[in-house]
Amino acid sequence: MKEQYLPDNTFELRISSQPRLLRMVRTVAGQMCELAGMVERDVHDVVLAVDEACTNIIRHSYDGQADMPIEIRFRILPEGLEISLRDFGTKIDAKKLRESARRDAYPRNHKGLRPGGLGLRFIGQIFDHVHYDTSLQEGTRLTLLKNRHSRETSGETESEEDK
Amino acid sequence: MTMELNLETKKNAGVTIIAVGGEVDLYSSPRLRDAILKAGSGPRPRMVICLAEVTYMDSSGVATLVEGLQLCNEKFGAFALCSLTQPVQGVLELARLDRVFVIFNDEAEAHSWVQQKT
Repeated sequence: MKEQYLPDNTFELRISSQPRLLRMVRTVAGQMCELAGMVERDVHDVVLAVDEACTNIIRHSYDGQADMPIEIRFRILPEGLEISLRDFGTKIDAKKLRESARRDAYPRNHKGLRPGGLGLRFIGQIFDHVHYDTSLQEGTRLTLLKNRHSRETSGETESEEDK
Repeated sequence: MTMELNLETKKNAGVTIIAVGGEVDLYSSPRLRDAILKAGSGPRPRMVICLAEVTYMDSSGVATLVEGLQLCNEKFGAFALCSLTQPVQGVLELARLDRVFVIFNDEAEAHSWVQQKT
């Protein structure tokens, strides 16, 4: 049977939800950013945001279980880098996410700070496009796009709920 | 490049100094948290977290630092960061917490401030 390969602009990872694997995910994300021709500052930001997205999947979608699947796909596009993360756990509540991101956007101090809240904010600040697809039978697919010449990380990104 | 988390805790004139090296993420941050909580277990804890060798930090690391700050504040102690690397500075700025922590360029300055604070 003929093997089917991904197009050469696409790279996929399928890992288990073990926190010790996050380092490997960061390494791959960094390499993909460099292949996509991103500047150093953007490479660092994307690596951080992908790490945060995986962390949220481990913590919230899988409630800390370490043997659940996470699928990550990197696609180099003419405009930049697209990353999708698929989990099969508890679905994201996209409306709550947007409210949470707005509420946590400008903390005046450290009180009431939540790690999950910070991660969501980073993702929203760093990527130019953030899309949560909760229409799947199981879990959520998060699609992120970082343009090669992106805007400043000033919270101007759009976040959409799948219709 | 240092990958694993390295922690070294020492005490100097009543101030606990925790030197952190490597990558602080969901996997490794519990160890840093344990070290901070142990250092803060007594009355009026005084703590300096030295981040000179940290090559990566995400929100779990930031949350751990926040927890240390809150713990010391609740107990009328003192908490300071020093020697921030670019990755740490960057993530604190992204979190808009770079103005919340007391931050020094080196350990000696941080130690001096913490020592006289309480």
